[in-house]
Amino acid sequence: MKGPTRRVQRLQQSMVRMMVDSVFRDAVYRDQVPELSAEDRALLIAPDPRAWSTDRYRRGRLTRALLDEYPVTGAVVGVSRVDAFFGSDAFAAVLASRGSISLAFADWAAPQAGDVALLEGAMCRARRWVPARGKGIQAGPGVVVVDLGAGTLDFLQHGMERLGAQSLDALAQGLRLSRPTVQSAREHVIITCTADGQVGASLVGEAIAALTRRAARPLSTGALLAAARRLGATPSEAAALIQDLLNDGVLAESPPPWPSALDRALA
Amino acid sequence: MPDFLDRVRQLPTLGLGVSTEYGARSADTLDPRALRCENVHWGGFLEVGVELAKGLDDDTLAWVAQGWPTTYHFLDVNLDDPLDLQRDWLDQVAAAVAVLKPAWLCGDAGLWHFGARERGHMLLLPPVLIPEAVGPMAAGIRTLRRTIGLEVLPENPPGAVFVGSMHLLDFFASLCEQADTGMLLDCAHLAMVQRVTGRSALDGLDGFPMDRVVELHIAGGTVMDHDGLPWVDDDHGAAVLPDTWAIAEYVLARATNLKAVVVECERNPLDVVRPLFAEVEARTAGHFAATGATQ
Repeated sequence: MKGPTRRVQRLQQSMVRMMVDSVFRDAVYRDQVPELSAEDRALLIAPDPRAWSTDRYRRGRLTRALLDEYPVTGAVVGVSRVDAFFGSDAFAAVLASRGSISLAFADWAAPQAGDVALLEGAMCRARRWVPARGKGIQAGPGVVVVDLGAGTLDFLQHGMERLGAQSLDALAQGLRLSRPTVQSAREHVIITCTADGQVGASLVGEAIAALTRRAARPLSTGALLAAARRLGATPSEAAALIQDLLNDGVLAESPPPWPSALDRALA
Repeated sequence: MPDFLDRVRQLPTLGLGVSTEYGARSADTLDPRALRCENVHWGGFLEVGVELAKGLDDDTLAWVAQGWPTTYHFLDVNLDDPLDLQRDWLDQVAAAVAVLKPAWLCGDAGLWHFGARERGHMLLLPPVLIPEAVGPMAAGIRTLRRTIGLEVLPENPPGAVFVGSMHLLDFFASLCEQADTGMLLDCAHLAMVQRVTGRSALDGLDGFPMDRVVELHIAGGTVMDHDGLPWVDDDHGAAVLPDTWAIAEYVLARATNLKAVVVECERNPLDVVRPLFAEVEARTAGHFAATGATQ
């Protein structure tokens, strides 16, 4: 089965952008988007320009979806700045690449918010965990490791406390956090997410972080032992460490996908 | 495989039904089971809106436990996108079908999400109304039908803005032909496109192959004003707009293979929608095609 033609894809992407980004929409009507052919532009400007924005809350819903997953980042950069993502080149790139808005937002926001955006982005990745293809030992279900400036996890936890359980309300009321000071020292944070979306995070040492990162793709036990040896472990220490990580669920052997919502409903 | 106009005779006649989707019911909105118990002709079947990431809610499972008829209305697939029709999603559809035992699958043939199927990406846009957009969507319908083993009826989506050179009805006539399928015609959605494109309510219906229409949707809407532009909010309220009735009346008189009509009003109290069900029952009486099978 072939998918939509490139032309149809471009038109679909333009429609989405015209609905959420008034600057882009105006540019289309003013013939200031050179990548659009004259024929396609004629199709896009045929509707009354007001018709693109009848849903006044569409962009607000998208912003809210981001703030759900990036509350502390939102508090650092401000809600209006989060909203600005939907007028950015990064958003256009997500549309063109069939990417994830949430994951793309982390990279876009990090220069403004600091590493806390990368930490919340890693939590997004943990929520979207699917097993890697292939047999062998890999990072466990919902496990993601990320390297950040020292103090980032602490900043996130304090930020969450400041925002409280109703973080969206707090953000809507204008609660802001100062951007954390950039630290040259690094910390390794391991994130774990359960099948029902509960996310936890804690600091781990260099060896665990390195082994978990290596296991982003399935590895044989031998390859993992060798990786541990290269980190300085003796053969017995390496075997014990990997066994501990398997016992704790940080690593897993060919884990099955999480049960679907349908599976859970029928259980 | 016989063509659709032969296969359609084997589809069950479901009559009048009601729609739901995950979590639609609250304390003061209608309970589909109560509706059916009050009047089996109003709750003849349940059209279950399914977003597989959410699963099936207790109301739906309770309906199914009674063995009552259903249809499966997808809310999470861009039919023209092969990456949306991959094995894991199809497996989940098959699992849901095994539970619901629907008479057929149906759903808006548009853009349910942009890019990948991802949280926060949901929207519903109409298809781009140009001839080259028809083929991939038809291929998706064929793939879904072949994989699941049930008819797949595309529905004309709502919208306040439509892009493309084709009349929406011509697009769907072509889609039905290329996919060898029938159609779920949403009268309220069609009234919306006719209005925003400056056409009369019945424009284009005279050239539409009415024998493809298997199911109708009737729903209330509200005329809104946006900076002076009138448009219709498809709010599924109890007040059906005159254009929607006009379309329904026209189609009911001509749709020789009509098997089902859904009153979309899932977020209203039963007291509020009783008159609507009574009116739809009166208007549809005698218009259903003979049943080919029982569900």
